Amino acid sequence: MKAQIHQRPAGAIQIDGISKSYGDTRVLSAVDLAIEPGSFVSLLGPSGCGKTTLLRLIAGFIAPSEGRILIDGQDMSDIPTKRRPIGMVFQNLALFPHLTVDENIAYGLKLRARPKDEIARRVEKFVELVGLSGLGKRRIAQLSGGQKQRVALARSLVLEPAILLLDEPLSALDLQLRKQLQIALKEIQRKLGTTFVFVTHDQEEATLMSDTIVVINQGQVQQVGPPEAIYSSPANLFVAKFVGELNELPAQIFSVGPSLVLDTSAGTIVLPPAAAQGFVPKRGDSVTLCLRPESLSISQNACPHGHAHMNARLIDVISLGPVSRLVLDAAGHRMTSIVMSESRPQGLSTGSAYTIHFDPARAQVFTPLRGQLSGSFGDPA
Amino acid sequence: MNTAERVHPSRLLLLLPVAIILGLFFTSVAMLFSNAFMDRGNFSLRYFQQILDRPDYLLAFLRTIISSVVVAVLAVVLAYPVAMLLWRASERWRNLLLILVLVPWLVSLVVRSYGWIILLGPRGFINSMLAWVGIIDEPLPLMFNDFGIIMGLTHVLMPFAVISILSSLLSIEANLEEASSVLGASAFHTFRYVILPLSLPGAFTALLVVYLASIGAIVTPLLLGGITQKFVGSQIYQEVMSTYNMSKGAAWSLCLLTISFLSVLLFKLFERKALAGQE
Repeated sequence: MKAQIHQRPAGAIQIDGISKSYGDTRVLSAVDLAIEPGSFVSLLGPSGCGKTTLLRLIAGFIAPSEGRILIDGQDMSDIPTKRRPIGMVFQNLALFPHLTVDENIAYGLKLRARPKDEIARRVEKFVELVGLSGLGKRRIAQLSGGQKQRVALARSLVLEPAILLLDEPLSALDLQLRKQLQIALKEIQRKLGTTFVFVTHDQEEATLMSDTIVVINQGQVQQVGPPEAIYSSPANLFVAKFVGELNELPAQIFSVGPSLVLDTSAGTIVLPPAAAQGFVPKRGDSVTLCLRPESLSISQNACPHGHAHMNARLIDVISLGPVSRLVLDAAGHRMTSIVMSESRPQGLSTGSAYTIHFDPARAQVFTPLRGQLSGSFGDPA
Repeated sequence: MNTAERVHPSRLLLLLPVAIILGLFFTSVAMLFSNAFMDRGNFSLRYFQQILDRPDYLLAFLRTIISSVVVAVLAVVLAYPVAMLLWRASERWRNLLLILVLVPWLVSLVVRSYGWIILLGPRGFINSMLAWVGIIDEPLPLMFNDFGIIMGLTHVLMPFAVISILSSLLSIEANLEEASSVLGASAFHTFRYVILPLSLPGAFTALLVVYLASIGAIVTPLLLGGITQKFVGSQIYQEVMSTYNMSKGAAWSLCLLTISFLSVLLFKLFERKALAGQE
């Protein structure tokens, strides 16, 4: 029988107790993670959180201090980069400047000594797949930023790796192009069924593209889950703050029982006990009450039955087309509410007193962070 | 009136030093030319004719050109591993090693050449050792010949090649090597298909610089080549400093200058072909 079934490796990654230290600096500690074959997984976290280190460990550029990585069940500890079933798109793309687009894409195939006509055929197929038809003879320096991204992608994908690692490949592009490529990447991933592991610090990007988001901070996995779950039920205050906009109000637990009663400077708030996330509330605990801007509404006087409420002063109304941002001051704490512009109460006047109200089921209570992160927010590098 | 654009006349004085330097430079070149075509006050092509007529003179030119090509190639080939090592080293080590590479330049040319005499001479270290071990009966002719000149010049000029290649290597974008290995390349393949092609511009510059420096060398060939194995530069030096034949020296200089110029032209053509397609 000459029929040959080309069985592509599935691309499951299992990370077992991986730690990485440089001298006294611990970059990753005891990371356990299982990545489903064929999924789009984002490693999301602030700069310096260890997400790129984790990617480089999977690629085999560096060796873990402890633990091991398995790809499709095979231990990668003794397997060098060049023999791992992976591709990688680098942050700086790392295209070969002395080669043309076609030659860049053919690089890996030539190393594998494939027949010339096969190389030509596959290069052409992938040039087309990433939308670069007709540009094959161009030099890298003659391409735009977005086109370079596509070359980098094609250069890796043409080898049909089981896993593609992407290290913030879109971070250097302007917003418009970024949006285009995010969609293109997702489409290509679906079409090929390759496992994508995508490193990013941009939660919006991660949410848009991923099947699963892995939130990492300070070398530890904070939460793993689908984007909606990460947003709607974050595991801790770090995740809540990192993923999406958040109103925070310091509070103290007044009582625990059939309901969770909080004392805040803006009044007493009564919540269901399930609002406490990831800790067992005790009377007297200092906690942080978290509310997404879209869960907050304001009214002049009465609020819907069953809603929690607090008093605030309206500072500013910013209309953003379909939605409006209402900036409020609740006993010295700045709160933001996002409402649909149509349903926004008429005749809002800045400086006047209003009532903020929200469904208590949408409030979350966390133990405060112990002075660890903050500084790294919004840092793009 | 825009006062800012008016130049105070005193500022023109700043041009004076430049004018003096340029004046002296062009005067000397002009004198070189006029000297070359003069013989005791009369126009003459005598010294040019002499070069073409005397086989030993022609040989000196030929030797200079061929030896310089060999020196350039040798210096670049030997400099590659050194440049690679420096490139790989951490920044601290790189600076330290770079000083080591440049140490030969801290020693005067004459002293350095005497160092080679101690090593290569008929009673030098190498010959004594070989004789002592019993491999040779007669001392090997390691100097006062082309071999000695090439050794000496390669040694002196190698640092140029190291620096030139290193600067080319340092301009290679970070993680091209990682990209290559992720695509399945071994270290050798990565060198052959990525690092080497990208460092070629530096290697070409090194070839040219070393060749030009070698073709005009004076001291090293004089000390290591002996009396019989003449280099053009050494011959010019002798004509000017010992025989005081300025016209002959000038004629030789002019020939050397022309050869250098033509070499650069030829080399640039070759380089353009070799690097065709690369930025």
